[in-house]
Amino acid sequence: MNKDFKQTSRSGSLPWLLQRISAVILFVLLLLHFITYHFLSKGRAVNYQEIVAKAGSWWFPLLQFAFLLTALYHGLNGLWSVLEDYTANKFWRLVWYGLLLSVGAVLLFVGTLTIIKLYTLPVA
Amino acid sequence: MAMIDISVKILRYQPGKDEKPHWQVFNIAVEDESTILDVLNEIHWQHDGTLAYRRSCRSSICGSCAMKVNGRNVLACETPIHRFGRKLKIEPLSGFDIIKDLVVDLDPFFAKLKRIRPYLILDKPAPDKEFVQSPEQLEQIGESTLCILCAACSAACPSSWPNSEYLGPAALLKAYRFIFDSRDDGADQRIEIVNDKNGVWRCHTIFNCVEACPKKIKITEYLSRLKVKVVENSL
Amino acid sequence: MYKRTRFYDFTYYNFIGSWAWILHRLAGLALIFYLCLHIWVINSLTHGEAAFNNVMAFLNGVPFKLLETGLWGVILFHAFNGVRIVIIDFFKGSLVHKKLFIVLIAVAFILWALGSYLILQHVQWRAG
Repeated sequence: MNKDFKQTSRSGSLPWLLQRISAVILFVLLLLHFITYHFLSKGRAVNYQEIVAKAGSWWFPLLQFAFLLTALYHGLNGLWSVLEDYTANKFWRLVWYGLLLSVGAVLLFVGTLTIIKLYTLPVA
Repeated sequence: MAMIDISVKILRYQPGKDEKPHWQVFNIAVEDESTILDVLNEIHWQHDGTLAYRRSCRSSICGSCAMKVNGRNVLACETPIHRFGRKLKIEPLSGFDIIKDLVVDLDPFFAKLKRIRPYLILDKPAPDKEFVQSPEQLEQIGESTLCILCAACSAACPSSWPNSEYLGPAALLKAYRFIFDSRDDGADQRIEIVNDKNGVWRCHTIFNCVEACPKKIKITEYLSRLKVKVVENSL
Repeated sequence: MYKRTRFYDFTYYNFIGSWAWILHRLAGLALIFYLCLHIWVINSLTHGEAAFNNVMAFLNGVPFKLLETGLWGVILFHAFNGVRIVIIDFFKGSLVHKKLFIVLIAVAFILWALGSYLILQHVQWRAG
């Protein structure tokens, strides 16, 4: 056995694959998102009633939740990969990881709440 | 052939004497067809005998004289000075500790290479005569066998600079070379080693290794295939 | 022995590959911070029509619309270089990665110009 061999932590393959899968999903969803919310209300501002009406459709919460989940996973996993590049210290890696998980949990909570609220808003 | 005047800036570090590396400029005259190694030899033989650097075969096969010239890792012996003009800036390879002047400590580099077990691992008894490999099977390994272990790739990798534990392109390429060798049975052990936070997943397809490789090996392409193989193996 | 580990070797020459990587990272970092901000802002849109209009008045002002074109650019760069990375990882893109970069970034640039035109049409020059 090679005495120089030092295994640190396994893993890496699944996050790597999921990062790419979420990237492809995001590519489609983000372009759709931009077209619907940033481009398509040509010449005027996004209208409250319009948004409320759109948010009331059955596909809205599903699509938005999928979007939220993939965006959060892709973003936080990407950030973790950057931090991993520069953090050798075990303690700091744990701190970063915990921090990212908590940020993810909070944002997922706030985001889900927003989607539910928008979906259940009364149409005037 | 004509003599030209060039200015050579070299990062010097004398252990025990210098606290940290510092630049020294040599203004010398050399033949215009000189290589970087010729320039270093000229300085070492005629101007300053204390200048330390590694060289051996002077025909780009031993892999001793990789160094950073004007911001790029090259083999000193095969690189003509006219590629860089009349101002040269020569440094030791990045990411490695400096022993003296242009000589860096390559022990970690070879330790990482050893880690992926760079030799044929057999489960079955070896055949009596030759180990038959088809042209297609040889094609799988491709250029990955051409590596001369000069460390130019690993020293050019931005993932290696902050992380001395990262296996680096050279060791990962060697892992590819054996994992994809039809004669080898050690793929599982090597994949285990490569599938590590300091293994193949620190490669972010930056291509600095490919730019630096004096043998023009498409390292990133092989590492991409390696990643897919590791993913397939762990699914 | 002189020890050397460093965050980045800034004197190393940057080829297309390393530029793509650096910009991809910076864009990614910018986007994750934007995502946090975005989720908070959208949450404030759910507090009734008055609050919504308040927030939208700010979002439709000139400074934010200009920022929005910047955001669109950062997203497009990250998305199209991301496509390049996926092609490199799974479809032998390594062999043509420089050409891929130039072509994909050219497409991204055209989409950026188109999108920015549409975004700037939404500017509410006067409040109300």
